[in-house]
Amino acid sequence: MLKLRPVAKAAILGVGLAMVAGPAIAKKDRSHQAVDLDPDQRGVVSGVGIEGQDLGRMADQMVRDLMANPEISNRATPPRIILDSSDLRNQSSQRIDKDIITDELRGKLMGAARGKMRFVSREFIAAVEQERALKRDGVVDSGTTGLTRATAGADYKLVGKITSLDSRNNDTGMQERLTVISLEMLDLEYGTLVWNGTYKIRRAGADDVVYR
Amino acid sequence: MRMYLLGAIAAGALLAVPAQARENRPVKCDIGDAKRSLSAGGPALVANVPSAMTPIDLNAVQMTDKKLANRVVVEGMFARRTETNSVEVITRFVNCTKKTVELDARSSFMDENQVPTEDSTYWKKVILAPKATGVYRGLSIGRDEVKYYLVEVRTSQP
Amino acid sequence: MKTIHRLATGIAAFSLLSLASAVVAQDAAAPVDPAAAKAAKAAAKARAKQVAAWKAQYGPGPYPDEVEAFAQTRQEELRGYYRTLYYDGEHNAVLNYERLGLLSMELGYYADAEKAFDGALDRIEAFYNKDKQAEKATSATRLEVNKDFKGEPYERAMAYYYRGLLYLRKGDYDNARASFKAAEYQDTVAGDESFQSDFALLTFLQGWASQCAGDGSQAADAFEQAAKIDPKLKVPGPNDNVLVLTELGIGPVKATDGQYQEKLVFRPGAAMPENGAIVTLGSGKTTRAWPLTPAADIYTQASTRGGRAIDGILDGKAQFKSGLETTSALATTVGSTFAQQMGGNALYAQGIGAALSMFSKSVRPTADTRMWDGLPSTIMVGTTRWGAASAAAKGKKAPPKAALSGGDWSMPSVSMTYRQDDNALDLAGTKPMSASAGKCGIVWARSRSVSALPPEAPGNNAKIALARKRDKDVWAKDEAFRAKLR
Repeated sequence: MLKLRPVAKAAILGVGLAMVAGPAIAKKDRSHQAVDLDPDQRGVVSGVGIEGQDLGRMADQMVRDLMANPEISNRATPPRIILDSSDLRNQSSQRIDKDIITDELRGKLMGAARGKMRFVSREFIAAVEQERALKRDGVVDSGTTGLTRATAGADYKLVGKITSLDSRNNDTGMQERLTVISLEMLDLEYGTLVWNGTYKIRRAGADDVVYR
Repeated sequence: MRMYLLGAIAAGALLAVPAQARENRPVKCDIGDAKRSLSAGGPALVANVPSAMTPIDLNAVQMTDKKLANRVVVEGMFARRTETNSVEVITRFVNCTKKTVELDARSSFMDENQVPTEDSTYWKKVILAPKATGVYRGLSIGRDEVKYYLVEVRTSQP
Repeated sequence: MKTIHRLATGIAAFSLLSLASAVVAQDAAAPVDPAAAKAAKAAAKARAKQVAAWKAQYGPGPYPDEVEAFAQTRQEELRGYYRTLYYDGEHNAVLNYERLGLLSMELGYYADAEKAFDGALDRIEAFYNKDKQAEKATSATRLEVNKDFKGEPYERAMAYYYRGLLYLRKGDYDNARASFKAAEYQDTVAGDESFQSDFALLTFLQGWASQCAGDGSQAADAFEQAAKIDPKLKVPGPNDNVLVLTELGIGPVKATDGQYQEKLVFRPGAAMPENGAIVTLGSGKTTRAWPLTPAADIYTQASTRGGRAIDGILDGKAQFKSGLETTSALATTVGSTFAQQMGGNALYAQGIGAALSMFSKSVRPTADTRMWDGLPSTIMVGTTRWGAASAAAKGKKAPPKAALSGGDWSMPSVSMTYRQDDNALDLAGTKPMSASAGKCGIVWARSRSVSALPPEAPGNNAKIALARKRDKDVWAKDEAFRAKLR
């Protein structure tokens, strides 16, 4: 599984970092204290797949791109968007928790949109339904924003795919993977795609000769 | 470094047929000239104690290491408003060496008081083939409030 | 094995000790009397002595008390494996994780199994560049077993395979497909092209994961590909929703060959009678039973990989050693004849011979035979439709939507009969894993349980493992590993 929690990463190779990080940690220190890493820099453990630093970079690029799209981010009435991983397909050869991609993107987009988009949650709709039922049964009062006839319908939904192409040179032990994360905004009424963002990662490396 | 206004291009610069192009000759650079050129004296980031650092020109490219500064020349720098009024900066680099150069670039956007309107973009890798050009694009999140921008460049880091 | 025995004695000693200290602690609560103080002092002294003894035995550690404290937090049946995992550190982490994962899966501790296989795969996927232990493995005077274990391609592929099954169990078809894809990728290292990607079952399972994820075209591609490699693997029906896998026999065994044991060779595991299986789903009127299709031969996968890069290095070491031996023998004989002829100092020439021969003894080309011993020799596969679609199958065509809608069906009871040719064997096998979290259900069973195996993997060199721990950096790496385990 993709390792993304920096603390976990740090714990694994706290020591490796001690050497990379330099004087911050005394050389004599043999402890295995966890170290905070910059989530946007390459970590100390690496392979050829999607890694922690790619997520922020990808989300940043896509958010900026989305914010420049007039159809989505410049409407008089802010559009309603479902942004979760339910229609994000992983066809790559990497095991990954897709939520980490959509969560990062949603977080950044919410910060950037500042009211220009509205996000509809379907993941936790059960909680909404429960509260609505309580309000309507009179068990609780109607809150401060009043009752609505129904929960919000959405205009757009984030859909997409993660695909990968693996190759290997058996003579040199070099492995290479091209990972393409392609996200699209689907118009839920009309069925058209109004935006596409593609992020490519092409990474190559070779394991130590004793493992080839 | 030359600054272009996109308007000028639209007005006909593109339509003009070059009389004679220099073909069959790889590009030659005089990095020294680029280094010696003086600041235009426009808006710049200045330290609290002005003499504490050289001013960082805004609406310009700032190279962050000498190694790169000796290899790459900024050919052109463009900025335009997108349809949503956010700002897109485009920078074209020329690789003066006979080897591939990898650089990272990022852009920062500021309002009229030089207050950052958002976090800087992430470093984006641009790969320049030998003696060839390469383009970096950066988009702002902020819209009307963005008045200044700064593109920073460094030698690519893994 | 040895270490585990030692560990066990250590644990026993520790429990005795903690008992003593508990008594002491109780006494300490009472008003201070000289006898109690004396006892406390004695206990402290005994403890120090014990630690010193442990230090002599286990080097820097971890000591039995620490190992035991960790193991106590785990399921009882898995503790032995967790102890080994904790004690061995990064050196055998991949192997220990794989063995632990398979045992946990068999016993139904799926959370443990998932974590264990993730732990193994994370390490398999990371590149060990400029790794000190890996460098040591190539050094002429050190054994290959110095390297941190990552396994041969067939072992790596099997780790992905089991992880994929666990994803199927949970209904996460995307990640299941990713796992099978990555497993197949491990198979591309074969030197001989005709053996690259010949693990048809993995392609078939990618197709199955795609079908369950509702991705028909990808599924069709994969099934077609699998059938091309192995015609026995028929394309499942479009409405099939239950996958049955069972594993037979005992997998390949690693051994060494060559003058100095420098060659790694694979031998088929001990022969077992079972060579077929019939699965029975449901009971009463809705029973369905059918024989499964043999889909993978793990020994073939292990033995068709071709030359490894490390083989060249080990071979070089062996030649170096053999060269040294020849030279030393020559130096001894030629030296003495020459000296006799010249009437000079024969001892001097013989000295050179002896030095060379000693040096040649220090060259260690022996191949690493640590291996995942729980693997099967054969994997059998079958698919069917069950639930709404199952009833319709007899008469009219099933509406495809109903068949794959999920939710309106549940997994039937499962039993497995192992056979030798056409005769049923008296072999219970493991309790089948049976689950349906999404559109598809999965049944997985094994004819031979891994619970009979010792918690420590075969082929480990305890001496090397201990020497390894004395390296400062390695120790810190292991400590970090243990900190993450806790």
